[in-house]
Amino acid sequence: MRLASFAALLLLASSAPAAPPPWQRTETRAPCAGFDLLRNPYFGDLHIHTRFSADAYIFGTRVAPRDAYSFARGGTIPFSDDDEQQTRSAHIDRPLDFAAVTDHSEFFGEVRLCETPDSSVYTSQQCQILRQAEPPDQQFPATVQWLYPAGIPNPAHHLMCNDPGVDCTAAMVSVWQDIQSAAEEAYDRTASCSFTSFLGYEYTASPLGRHLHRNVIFRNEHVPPTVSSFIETAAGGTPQGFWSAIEATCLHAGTGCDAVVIPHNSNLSGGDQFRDPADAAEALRRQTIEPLVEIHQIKGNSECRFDRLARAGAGTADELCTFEQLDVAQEGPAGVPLPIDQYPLRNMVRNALKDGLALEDQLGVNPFRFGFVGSTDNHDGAAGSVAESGWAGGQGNNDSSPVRQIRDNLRTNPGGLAVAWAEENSRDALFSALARRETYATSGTRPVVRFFGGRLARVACGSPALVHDAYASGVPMGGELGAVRGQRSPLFAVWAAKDPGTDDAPGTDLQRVQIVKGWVDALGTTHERVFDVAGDAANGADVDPATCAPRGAGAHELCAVWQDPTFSSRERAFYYARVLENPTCRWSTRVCRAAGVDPFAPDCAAQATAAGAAFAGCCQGPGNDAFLDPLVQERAWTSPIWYRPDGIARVRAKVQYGARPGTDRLALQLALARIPKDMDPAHLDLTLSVRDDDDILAVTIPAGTLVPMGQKRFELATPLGPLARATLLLGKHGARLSVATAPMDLTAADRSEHMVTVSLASGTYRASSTRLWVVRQGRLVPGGA
Amino acid sequence: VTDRVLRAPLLHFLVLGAVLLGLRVRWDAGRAGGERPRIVIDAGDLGRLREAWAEEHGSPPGPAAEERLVREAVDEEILFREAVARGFDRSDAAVRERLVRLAGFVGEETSRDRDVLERDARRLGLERGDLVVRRHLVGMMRLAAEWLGPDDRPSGDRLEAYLAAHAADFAEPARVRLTQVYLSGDVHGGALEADARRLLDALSRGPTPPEEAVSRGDAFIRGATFDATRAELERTFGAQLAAGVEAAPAGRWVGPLRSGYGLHLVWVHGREPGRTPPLAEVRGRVAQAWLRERREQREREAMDEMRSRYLVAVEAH
Repeated sequence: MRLASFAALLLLASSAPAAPPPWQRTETRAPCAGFDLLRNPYFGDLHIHTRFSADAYIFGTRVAPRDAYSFARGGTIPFSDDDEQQTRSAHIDRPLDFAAVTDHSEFFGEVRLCETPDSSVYTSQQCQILRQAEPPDQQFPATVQWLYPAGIPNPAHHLMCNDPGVDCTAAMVSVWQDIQSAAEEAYDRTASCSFTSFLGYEYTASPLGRHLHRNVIFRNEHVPPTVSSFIETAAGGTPQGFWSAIEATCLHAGTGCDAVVIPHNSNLSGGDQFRDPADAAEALRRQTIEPLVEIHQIKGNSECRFDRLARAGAGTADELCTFEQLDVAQEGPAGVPLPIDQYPLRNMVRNALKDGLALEDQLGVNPFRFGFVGSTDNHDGAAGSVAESGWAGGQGNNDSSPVRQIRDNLRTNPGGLAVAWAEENSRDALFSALARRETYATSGTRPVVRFFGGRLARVACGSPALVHDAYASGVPMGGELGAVRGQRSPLFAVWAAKDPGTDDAPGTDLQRVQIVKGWVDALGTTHERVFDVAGDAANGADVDPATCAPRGAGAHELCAVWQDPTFSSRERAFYYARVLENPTCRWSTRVCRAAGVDPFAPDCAAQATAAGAAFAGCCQGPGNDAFLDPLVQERAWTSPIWYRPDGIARVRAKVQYGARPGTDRLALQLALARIPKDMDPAHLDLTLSVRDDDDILAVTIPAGTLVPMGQKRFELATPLGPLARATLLLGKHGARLSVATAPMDLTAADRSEHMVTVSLASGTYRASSTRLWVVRQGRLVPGGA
Repeated sequence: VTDRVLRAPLLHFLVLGAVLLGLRVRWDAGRAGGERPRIVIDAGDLGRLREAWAEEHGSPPGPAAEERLVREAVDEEILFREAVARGFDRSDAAVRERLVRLAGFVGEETSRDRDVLERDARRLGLERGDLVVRRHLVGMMRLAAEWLGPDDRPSGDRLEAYLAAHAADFAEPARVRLTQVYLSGDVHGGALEADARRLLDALSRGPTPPEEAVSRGDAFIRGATFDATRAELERTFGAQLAAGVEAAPAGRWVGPLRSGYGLHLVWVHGREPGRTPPLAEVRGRVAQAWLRERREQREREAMDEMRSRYLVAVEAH
């Protein structure tokens, strides 16, 4: 850690943590008292709308970002009722650790002008449509009239923006500034670290009703001065124009700005959310900008899809994929239920992940290397309002009463949460977890899930050092592995603990843990398989149909160290853990029963008739519906760990600290079991970096600088920058890169146990190996060695 | 430090907002004295207000809503007159552009001279009659009313005073540092309670120091040591354990405390009492809150001052 970069903090820091985190502190704030090198799970919601979203405003939502952050921290906020009056209110069952308000950026300016009585367009018809309380059958046309520009090829702002004296851009900026003020006011910069607000917004491209929606989440307060929406960026491609805007205004702007983009609702994308990239460069761009995908939210689950009536799935035979599915595959005119054999495969993330492996075999880069988060997408400011019991709905007056919930929104659900494994609850720490994909998604509950892969020396369930040892000789969820055990399968450790719940609503026991594997064979065909690795699918637990109380027991905790019996060291694969709770009553079951209709009753249909036509849906279930179930099996999905035959199989390294300043040395050897497509020292630069919170070593060996010494061996002819020696062997058994520095200043490499990342880049090839490095005999070395 | 706050991007909000709207406005109190001008809301005005309300809400306004509508209409008229009195209608580019365009529509001459067109529009009274111009001027005046001047800097003294007055909003909760020895309900089953008591007795003899004691229990997924607030302990272990820790003396083994997972023996190393953080640690949040309140206060004061200079008559009541 360099003291210069830390100077600003010394004012605030009473005691800095002993070990540095693997990220730079970019903010003026106190380090957190709860800092933990081996990381804590933080629960959040990265997808929330307030009245600045035109559709939320139409749904009667009047709360602002400030209210959404207040809700996330435990405050009570008002909700719209059926008549768009703010007569309802609610608070969260337990506060969140972090949240991001992500309003639709497309119409920030128009909404601001329409809600400001002094604006010259206030009384226009377009503005009245936004503000008025319409009957339910008028709600959809009103929404379309406002949102249609997001669904056409050449989108433009609403006509009001062309009136003289009307400045929609200035109004848009003023909304963005309001959002920034609200986030700042909610962000705890003290050592308590009780809450983190993120700045962000939603890009809402919906060509012909196909959702290509994404949220952008910024690392810190160094955000672009204005927002980029589908309207401003459509000319550059969808979503390429948006990526360009984020690159230009943030990632490449040199302002300290950093961001991740998170696509969501691929289940409504008509197969278009994960299109093939044009080339390897675009694949790499996507992998870099979009490290995560939101796979669960109120408008359905996007992991995988199985139709229980047809007894067939969309690229899967996994029967647990009936979970919280919408019936349609997109919105707009083509948004009609499709038979499962016509359902677009890439609407589902698991299929995109599998295809990503095949694309990596072809292009050398995997465009679909997504970690997972869940969130709500609530349109009422209710960040993290995910409880199935007493759910207030999530979309203003669309689902503000039992009738509207059951009649109009039976297939929506209370949404999920995003969980980040981070050292502390600060923006830098959480953002870095998002960027490295060390996240998991839940369907709303809060189980704690660890997942590691690698050599995993000494890692055993029940060992108090499990987590430490796993970080030393493996990678956590979201990471990548080369052939770490030669021809043998890497080991995978998964450890889950049930949601502790609250006094009023104790968490549900766990039923089982699964590992989902996807892979591509030598012919380019993709496969998947689901393994039960812990727990018991037949534990007999269910609910008491008379009360919805859980019956029978499951596990408080489940743990397994597993290896893949189908492993082939030549086949690209991903592995993610899915943790299943025992069944509980779905939200709709609770609403139906309160209305006098019991989904479990043999005479459910008669009860529904008595309760009114709106409640007919209460009797949909496994017997007569492809997806709906009066029971819900809440679950968590960890980000995958990817096995890459051409990934980094082994890192041997040591930092030797000299007796005098400037006499430290680093020696490092990297082994790859397969030579990557883009490794060609004669024609491509080779970049090697070793990094903790600082760059310990960052060196690019220009193409042609490594001189061939025989057929397989390349060497530096003369020292290059910090490198005294560098040798690259390209042979039958893969690639090996060995470097050694001249005596130099390596004080950036902290002399304490901490995470270090070694990265290699060549052409479009990228690989990295992050491990806990430890101090042995005065030297800093990878811990798993 | 004040300089740093003023350089912080968020605090430019007001100034920047005004600049982006193309406004160079500031608040000056008008001159008192002379006869107070009258503002009359007559039956026709009231009818129009009710109609507009009904169109938007589907039903006529109730008494409370009607009172608010009238108050807003009066305020709007005051703001409009004050804007004209300050010459905003002559200095603002957007207003002039609008007048030129309107004159182009209604004028008989097809003059290209913008000054002539603007003069024509004013002769026709369009700067008073056109809704767009009117609302723009009202908006400018509102911004002027909430304008924060050089006397409204969020200085250290002011923020200190604000923090002191709103200490509860910024308070840092107490923290506790502890080590726990965990006995898993899954592992110990029916013997859980007895095993926990036996282990507590064993650890208490001596007593066993916390770092040695951890391996005597089961591995816990969140680790053995915590530096946490009571709320964080509640979210991790449940209310029962959090309450037990709150009552636990430091420097000895206490328990067993129950969670949703099993039983826990706890050693409290120390506590950090709750406190109001110094301003330096919460400056951004305090400044945001201070500016928001100051803006609301400025607008209230300015509106009250303006209202005091008019006589208002609602003739339809």
